[in-house]
Amino acid sequence: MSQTLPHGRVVLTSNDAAAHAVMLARVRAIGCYPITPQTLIVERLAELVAGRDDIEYANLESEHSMFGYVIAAARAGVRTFTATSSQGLLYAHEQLHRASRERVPLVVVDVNRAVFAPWSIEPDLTDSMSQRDTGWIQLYCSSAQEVLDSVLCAYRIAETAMLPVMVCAEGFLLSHTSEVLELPDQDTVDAFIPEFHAPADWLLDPDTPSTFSAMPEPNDYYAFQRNVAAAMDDARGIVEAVASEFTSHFGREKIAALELTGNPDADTALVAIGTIADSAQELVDGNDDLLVIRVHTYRPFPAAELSAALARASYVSIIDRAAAFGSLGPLGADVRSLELGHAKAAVNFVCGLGGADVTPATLRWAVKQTRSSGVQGGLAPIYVPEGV
Amino acid sequence: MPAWLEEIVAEEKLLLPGNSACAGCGPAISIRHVLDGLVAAKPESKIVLVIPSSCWTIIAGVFPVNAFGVSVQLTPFASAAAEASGIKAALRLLGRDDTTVVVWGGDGSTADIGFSGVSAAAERNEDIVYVLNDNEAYMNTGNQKSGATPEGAWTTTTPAGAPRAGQKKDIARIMAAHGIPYVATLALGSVPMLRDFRAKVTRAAEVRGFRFLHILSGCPPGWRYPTSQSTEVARLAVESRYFPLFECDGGEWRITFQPKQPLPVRAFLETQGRFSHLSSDEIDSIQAHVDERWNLLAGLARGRV
Repeated sequence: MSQTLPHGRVVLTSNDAAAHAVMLARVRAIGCYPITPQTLIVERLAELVAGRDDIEYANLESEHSMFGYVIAAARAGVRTFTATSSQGLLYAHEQLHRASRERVPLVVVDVNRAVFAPWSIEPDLTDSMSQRDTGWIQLYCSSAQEVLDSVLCAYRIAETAMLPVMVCAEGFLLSHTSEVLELPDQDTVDAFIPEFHAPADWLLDPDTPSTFSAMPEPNDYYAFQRNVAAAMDDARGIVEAVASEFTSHFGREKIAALELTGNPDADTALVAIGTIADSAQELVDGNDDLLVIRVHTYRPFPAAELSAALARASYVSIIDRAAAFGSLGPLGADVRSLELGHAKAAVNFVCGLGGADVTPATLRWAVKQTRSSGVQGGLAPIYVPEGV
Repeated sequence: MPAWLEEIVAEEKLLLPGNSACAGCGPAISIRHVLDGLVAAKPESKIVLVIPSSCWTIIAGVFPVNAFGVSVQLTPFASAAAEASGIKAALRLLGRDDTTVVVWGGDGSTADIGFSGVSAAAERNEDIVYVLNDNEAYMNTGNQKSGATPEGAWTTTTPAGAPRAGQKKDIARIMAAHGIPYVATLALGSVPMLRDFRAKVTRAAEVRGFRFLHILSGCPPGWRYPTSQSTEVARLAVESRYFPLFECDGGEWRITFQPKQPLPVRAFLETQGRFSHLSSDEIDSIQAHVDERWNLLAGLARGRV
């Protein structure tokens, strides 16, 4: 017997929102392994699928096996889901590379958490951002509503692009914080997400003997990698089209790549991701000379959209909540790779690691530093000092 | 030739000719009898084969060639058991529960890097056939010690000056301790052993739930014996009680092959270069461990043969 999901205006955490989205998307196979702060997602799903024989729910013994389980179930033709955080995502690292190269349309929620050592269960984005080169589409959220909407969109994106999608939401700040959100009804979601039909030449089919991921000659191996690169490039348009369709279908705006707040012609811009970008939006109140750019789709990197958004900014502050020791932060390096020749300064800041506070005051300090630096910005990021 | 053997000889083989297994590859003979035995037992069932990294990553065929007459999913080293579980779950949802999902994993992936996954799939009693293709070392990378490498054996990481200390992991008994429906050990050393082998594959096809087949198959370059001797080495392994053939069917232990006149383990060891450095004392120690384990199994079987 299935539980009826609520719909309409409800109060949910991001973890609950993710679980509800998974049920609405009619997922058939779910792999589970607990890790804080993700655990509530798989717990909620366990309750929601209990007693249903049309959904397989497996308790695996590790995230490596869990990713293997959902990859294999998807290869055999069913829609899947799993969720993890931090060490779990890192433990599954080789499966992440494998999933994109095997073109598996997984949807995974990563509830962002700092990485060991030392131990921390607090939020930062190092776990998922360090996986940025694995060939996954990455969507970073800043509200429970966006988590719900992004999971629904993720199935459309994944199954169109035949690439895995990671929906990222910072631990506790989102995962355990209750918010008011709109929960769609099943019929509306069914009209948005069609049944999953795996391409016949990709499907692991008992009736059609084929070997998958057999060792190719080097040139063939290289061709497979180029196919993934091309699929990632094509995914930009897919993300955009799905967001646009979502907006008209559900009557609620879905951000595709970037969310812009403030004055698009401002001399000063701040680029951030996740909940920090949400905090930064406070800075535009009463400040007509600031554009806040929130990056929602981080992979494929929205280079053209960001270049256009930054075309008039002389001072660009790029805020990372992830460490990439020995280089600029992940977002910093990506933004600095754009043509920003017109800008007087583009400075990368790293802050908020392991849940360290990032307040509007922190961000005002960063903007001030950028405006006073008067140079393009160094080759290393500025680690925001304590107490700023 | 007896009729049952004629039928086996005439079978359509699911490991196709022209594959890239080494000359004399013991596992190549074994996998043929696993796959063809499953088909013979359940001709209406399809097979999906799941292979973690191993020599079989290569033998399965260089893309786009398929060395098998069944669908194959190659996987990372440690996740074959979980992936077979996922495939079986999906096929169940899609109304294809009749498909037999088979893992063909080496001793490195089964006893070492993927062991937690194998144990967990057994504990969940996944409806799959897990075949341990045991050649007692990491042979694909050129013979390095695994948890299934026997006491005293030379490998490239346990050289003759510092041979493998400690005992080979007793993987079949460990798997039986999970309380799974069926565990058996298999080897192809003679016609009677082939009959035993095929009976166990047939039993595995009939039973539902997690089935574990532990096959000992020799590797001529790794074990250092001539390529013509894989069957003979397997025969000596069984007749010396180095590798007893037994099963645990629904919790009931049975020794399925009683050597009439057990050979000393020396007869098995001296066929292979990997044991050539052993002293008499070391061989005596191995013999003592072989006897000890046989007595243990005989106790579990309580005379059932």
